[in-house]
Amino acid sequence: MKKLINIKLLSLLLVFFGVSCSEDIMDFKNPNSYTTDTYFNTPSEIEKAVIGIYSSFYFNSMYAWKWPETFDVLANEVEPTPAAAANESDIMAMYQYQFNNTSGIIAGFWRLLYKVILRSNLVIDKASAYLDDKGENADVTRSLGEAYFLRGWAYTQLAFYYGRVPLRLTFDQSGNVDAPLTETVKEVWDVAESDFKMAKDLLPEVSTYSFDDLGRASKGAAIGFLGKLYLYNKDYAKAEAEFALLDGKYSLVPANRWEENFDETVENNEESLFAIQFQWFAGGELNGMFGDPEGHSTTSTNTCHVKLYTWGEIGGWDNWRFQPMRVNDFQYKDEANNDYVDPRAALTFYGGIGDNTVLDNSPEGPQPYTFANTDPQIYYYKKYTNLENLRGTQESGINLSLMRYADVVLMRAECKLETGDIPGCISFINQVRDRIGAFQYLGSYSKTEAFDLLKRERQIEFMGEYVRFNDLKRWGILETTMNPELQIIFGIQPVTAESYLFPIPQIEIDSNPGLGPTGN
Amino acid sequence: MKKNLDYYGLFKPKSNWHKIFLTMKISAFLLFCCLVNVFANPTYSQLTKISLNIKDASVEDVLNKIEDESEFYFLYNQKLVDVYRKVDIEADKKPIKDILDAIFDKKDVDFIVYDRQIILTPRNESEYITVIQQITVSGTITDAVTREPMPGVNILVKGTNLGTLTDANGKYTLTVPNPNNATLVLSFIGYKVKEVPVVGQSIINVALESDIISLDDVVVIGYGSVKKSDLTGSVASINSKDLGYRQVSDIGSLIQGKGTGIDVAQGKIRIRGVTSLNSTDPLVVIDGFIGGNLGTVNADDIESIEVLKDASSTAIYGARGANGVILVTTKGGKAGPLKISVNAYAGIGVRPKKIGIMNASEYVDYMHDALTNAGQTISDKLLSPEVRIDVTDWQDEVFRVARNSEFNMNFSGGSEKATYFMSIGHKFGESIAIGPESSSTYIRNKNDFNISKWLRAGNNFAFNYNIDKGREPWLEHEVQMPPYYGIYDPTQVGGYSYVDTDTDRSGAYNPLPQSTCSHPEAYTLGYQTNLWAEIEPVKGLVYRIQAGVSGNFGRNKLWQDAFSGGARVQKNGYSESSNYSFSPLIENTLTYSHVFDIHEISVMAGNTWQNYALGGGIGITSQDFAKTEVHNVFLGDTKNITNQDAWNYAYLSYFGRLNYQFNNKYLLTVNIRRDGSPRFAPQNRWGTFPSVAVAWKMHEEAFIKNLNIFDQLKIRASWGVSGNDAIGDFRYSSQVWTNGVYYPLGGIAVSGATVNENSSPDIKWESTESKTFGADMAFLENSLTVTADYFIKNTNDILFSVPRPASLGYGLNYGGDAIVNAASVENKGFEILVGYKDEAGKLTYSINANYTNVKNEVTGLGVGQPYLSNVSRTAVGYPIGYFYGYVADGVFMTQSELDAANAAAQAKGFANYQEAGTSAGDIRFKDLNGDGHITGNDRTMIGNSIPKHLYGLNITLDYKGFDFIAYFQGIAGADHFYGDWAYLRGGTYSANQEAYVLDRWRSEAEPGNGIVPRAVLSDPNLNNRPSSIMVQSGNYLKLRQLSLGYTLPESFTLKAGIENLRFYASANNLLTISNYDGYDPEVGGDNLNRGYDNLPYPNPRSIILGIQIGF
Repeated sequence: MKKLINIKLLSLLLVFFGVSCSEDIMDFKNPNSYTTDTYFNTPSEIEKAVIGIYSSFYFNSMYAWKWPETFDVLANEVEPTPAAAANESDIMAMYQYQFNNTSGIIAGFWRLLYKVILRSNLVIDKASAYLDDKGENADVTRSLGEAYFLRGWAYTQLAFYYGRVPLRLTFDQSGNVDAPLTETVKEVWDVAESDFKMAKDLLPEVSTYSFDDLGRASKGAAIGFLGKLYLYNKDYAKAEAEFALLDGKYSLVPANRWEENFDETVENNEESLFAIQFQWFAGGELNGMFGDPEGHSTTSTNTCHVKLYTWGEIGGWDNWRFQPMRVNDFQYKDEANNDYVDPRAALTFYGGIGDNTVLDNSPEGPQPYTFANTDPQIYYYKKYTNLENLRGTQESGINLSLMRYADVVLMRAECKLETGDIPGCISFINQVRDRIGAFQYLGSYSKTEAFDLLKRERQIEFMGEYVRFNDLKRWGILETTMNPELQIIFGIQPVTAESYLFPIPQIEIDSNPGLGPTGN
Repeated sequence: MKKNLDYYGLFKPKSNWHKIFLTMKISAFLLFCCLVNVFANPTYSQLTKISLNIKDASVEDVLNKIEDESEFYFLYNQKLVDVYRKVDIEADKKPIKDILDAIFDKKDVDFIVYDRQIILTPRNESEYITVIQQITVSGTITDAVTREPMPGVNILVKGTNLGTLTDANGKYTLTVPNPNNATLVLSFIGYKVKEVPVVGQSIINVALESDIISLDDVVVIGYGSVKKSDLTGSVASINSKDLGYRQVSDIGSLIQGKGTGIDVAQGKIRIRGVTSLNSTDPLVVIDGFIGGNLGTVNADDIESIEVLKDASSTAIYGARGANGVILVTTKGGKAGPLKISVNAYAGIGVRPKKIGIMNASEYVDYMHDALTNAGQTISDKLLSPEVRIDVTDWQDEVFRVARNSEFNMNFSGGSEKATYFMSIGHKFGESIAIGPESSSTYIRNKNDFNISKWLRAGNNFAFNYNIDKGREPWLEHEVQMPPYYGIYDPTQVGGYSYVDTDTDRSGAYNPLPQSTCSHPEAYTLGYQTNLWAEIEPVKGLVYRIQAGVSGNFGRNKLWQDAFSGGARVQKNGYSESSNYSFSPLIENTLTYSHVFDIHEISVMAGNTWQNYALGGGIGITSQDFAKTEVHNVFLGDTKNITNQDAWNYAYLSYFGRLNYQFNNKYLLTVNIRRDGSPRFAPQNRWGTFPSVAVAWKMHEEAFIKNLNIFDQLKIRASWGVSGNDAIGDFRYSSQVWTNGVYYPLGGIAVSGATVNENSSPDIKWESTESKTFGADMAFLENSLTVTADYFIKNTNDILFSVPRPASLGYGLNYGGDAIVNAASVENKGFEILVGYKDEAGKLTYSINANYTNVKNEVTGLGVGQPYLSNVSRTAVGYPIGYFYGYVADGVFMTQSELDAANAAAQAKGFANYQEAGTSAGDIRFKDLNGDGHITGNDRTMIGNSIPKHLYGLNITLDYKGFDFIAYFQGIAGADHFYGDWAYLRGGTYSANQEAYVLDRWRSEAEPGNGIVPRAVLSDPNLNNRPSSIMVQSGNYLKLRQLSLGYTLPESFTLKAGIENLRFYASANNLLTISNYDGYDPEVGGDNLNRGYDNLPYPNPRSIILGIQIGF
């Protein structure tokens, strides 16, 4: 009897043993995440992937923090406060052109540009597959255009700042992990050119966008950046041809609306071709300062630019002031050889010949800018700081413009200049001056004179918009311009032929055998 | 010996009559047993040689002497054996038999030797025989664990002198009077005494359980246990006595330095070298529960810890065995009356040392240098005299005297049918840093039931409840804070002083509010519950099923007070998260054991089934509370859900083992395990892990025995493969990333989705092939034992997320790289454990020394190219993750030295030798490739974090109730990389630095020590690049534990009803011998940042006073 029970019990347990051998138990899905196999297959999912590309702009090393600061110091358009000079060694090294391939800033730009490329490639592959499979779809087509535009933009930056770089043109890089540098920088430009052309074909005009789509890349943006690409490659005829396509589609806002370009009142106006969209949301973290927005629990799409560029009393962190040396740029002789102060001085900075009241449009009314009393050499930026409207500067969502129509007008001036049409050049320069109420250039000028006028116009118009370094670099006058300025500030002349390109970051050399041991 | 006599109750006469009757019976049986036990090898008695030189001593004294000097003990009745007779004995290394022959020669005493036990009986049996009511009981006595029959077991009818011994097959027959009320008492050396009521049964089979403090320990192995002498693999066995009473925070600290091949650093355990780049944590098995929750184990409840080191022992855990296995066995109940044991201690801990930090005046000088050299102006405040006055010693503010205490109590007892063990423990501990404190409460209940002869079952439930509170300040800030600052500033929110970046020119933070204004609390209930049953339908065939659940529930709260400090304004806020985990596990094993003739065979097959293991958590947060007294997220201004995550898991394995022993000389163990892991894609999911081990007990061979050198000589060899899947879940599949992906369009944050991590569809099992050759030896009557092993471990297909090109675009900032089967690494080494124990009069002492040597070398790379993670590089021919950087070659002592270097570089076409901003006083790096210019190609191996030598020394002394333990542990051949060098020594940071910086280059006239570079903010020369200046030797020798205890004499305590009363004092980390100039040369870290010192809190130096009471 007992034995029988044993056997019954044993067989029962052996049955259980059998049951507990089912291998199906290991077939389960990740409970936290979709996979790319099943996701990104519908128009709305593909559109979400496009949002993913744009959101790359927010990273610590990109526009939320480092990018504006870096190109401001490289162009000597800011001055560090003593505290920032003592504490911000990485950016100070950029200021003194002592960057090398271990610079965290240069590596950060690299990573983030390739992040834009990765995320663009995801959209390009998924959207193309969708269109091949399902046929025409306006939303997916626009998404594809946005991805080409953003990838083109990223490769433009890589070509311009780094030169020859690895190309990654598809999402699946498993066969191309150790991509080598291109043979020539032209290959990189060619990718960007082709991308912008694709974007130009695929994207709708900005005029067709509803308010909720403003801020997306549009056909006009693609044309503008394609033209700029031709200009940077000195193909002036092609550049002018592209820019001409924008006639009538964009315009310069009048002087009384100039500040719209740099504050939060009206964004994405008729002068904006493409701007990075920032927006303050309650509970949001300051982007970039203490971590990257992605992975944060709160919606973080604001910029810490304002915080960095304003003084303590007004709520800022007081890292960067307006560079006093730049004040002189706004003072020049008029046509009658009289001293002239450009009206953009009062629009660009506080102090001296600039604006001397803050908070003009705020409920508290205009308040005096007091630094002038203590130290007349202390200037702060007005542009991009929103200080006419608001004191609590933390909550800032000012868009950063990557291209506004004034740039297009002045690039057309440059095309005219380079193709020998000096009056045409002056005419475009005068368009920009006319809008702001500066006097018109009426004389006849040599090419050199015209170039000097154009150079000054770009410097004044785009002060603090990360344009000057690009201009000096592409014109080949970086050393001759910057060394004398740095000689005065630091007693050094660090700019050399090597300063024109950022080095390929050591992190890439160390991790990419395709580059070879020296990264060449 | 009287104790023995009383204990066994043997020969205790009720009347003369009875006595004579009994002695006759016993003697007959014992003689019989001796005859049949020929191959039951009374090894000890044959191998042990005794020297005696005693004149005119009583037999009793001689026997005492023999007991003192050997492990023999005598059983006899003083009334039947004349022990007061005077004898002269002279013996030089004679076997016991010869000595006894000499003592009792031609006298009326017979003796029987069984192993260490010697029974003396009168030679002439009486002829008295009486017939009483009686039955004959027979049966087999087996080992409870191995199920092997046990010859030579003493069996006695309780309260009588009737008894017998089991035969070679563990069988016995005994005539029992008054069978309905009789009880059998079974005893055997090294096993727990067991009482079994007869209640009229004629067949009684009993399984005896080993007593863990026996001479031939039973060693727990995967899914079973073996006698240490029958072990074929490499196992470090540490019992509760070895563990001692120490303050320990984790199991790593408990076993550090206690055995060979065990490398512990800051709680991280590595067995026999670094085999992998991902997790090298060994598998933890608690009371047979794989991957048990170590948090539920109270150190006081641990009976023993076994560390399985070679493939032969670990392969039974296949997939998870590659990094070694730690088996934790908790205490259990024993049949007998209720026993209560109490252990309590209290103590304090302090920081082991203070490090040198510049004082106010030195700091201000430094800041002047650093600012001036960077072309910046010195602020008025830094020029004023008041900043040269020392106000606060921040190091003293951050550290404190930590209090610790622990109280443990357990109850155990039971009967033949059921035993119980219940324990409760409570621990309280503070960090030596201000802020953190924790308390833990443990409850365990363990019951075993012998339901019938063929069915046994039991339960093992453990719960722990932890409360952790507080946050420590960052040690970096303690160094960086200017010494001229006070702690408080009432004008600031929160009341703490802050460093003004403008006037102070510094970015340092007051370290205190990080701790005092932040109030994290974590409440965790952990559980591990386990039920098991064993059925033995046929003799020798045992089916065991074990089912358990482990997991935890946690609630974490964080209240943050508002404070301002430096450039930061911290708002008040509250966040809370909850998490749970649930991990069930079922294991089935079927074991068949059989002994026939000289063959012993045991076969086991089983499977592990883990399904529905799941867990997850959710977090919420809110900021800006109007009032601070109620902490509820809904009362704050901005509310958010911060996370929701979930995980699930399943696991399936099959395994089998064959143990074969021939003639008690040759041992063979074969294991195989097949594992499925959901961490791999279905096509790569299964891995098979075999192992084979052989051992030869050479001391059983005549030619070794005749040498009369070895008490034990066993040689072992094993080969096997085990696996590792210690990578994150779902790495083989792609993942869509949505967390915090937004872009604002039309004033609305539109959420997006993208990818953040490169998927790894092709990854497969990482496997470690391990070979071990070992020997176990015992000499000098077993007082000297030596265990030596040589091992070679080859790990292939190491799973690792190799840093792939940044240009792939993955990762938030870093990481996101695909996992690849990245490398092969070889660990070769040998380990030796030497133990010596002896007695000198009343002094018993033991010394155990262990040494392990490991050489680690990468033998292949899956991506074909060395890779670098931070400063750790992995390349063929080098140790895994060695430190890689530039070689610092002093500083440029003069401008002309620098000019010469630049001129030479310019002659080769470079702009300069190092950097454009290099100046005299900066570090000169070595141009290793000789191209005339410093680039990334001038980096080389600058250090190795894996210790080549590990050693430990344990000394225990027992003298008249006093016990003493000294325990040393050390490593050698390891380097540390000072990861905080840039912030605390680099001279480039606008904050206070370590006193190291005082030796800096200041000018050509004041060049310092030629090693420490000048102070300059912005670091134009990149002095902070990883270089040899940041590497120093990590060798150390620590006196880990020194403890002294005193047990009051039993005669004294028994009057108070106390069986055992011990007082003790124990000190940890009393002494550290090291050249390392940080707080603690024991720097932890994962495999790729091991030895990377970023200023963790040091191990405290502590002392405790405790008491142990047993009732």
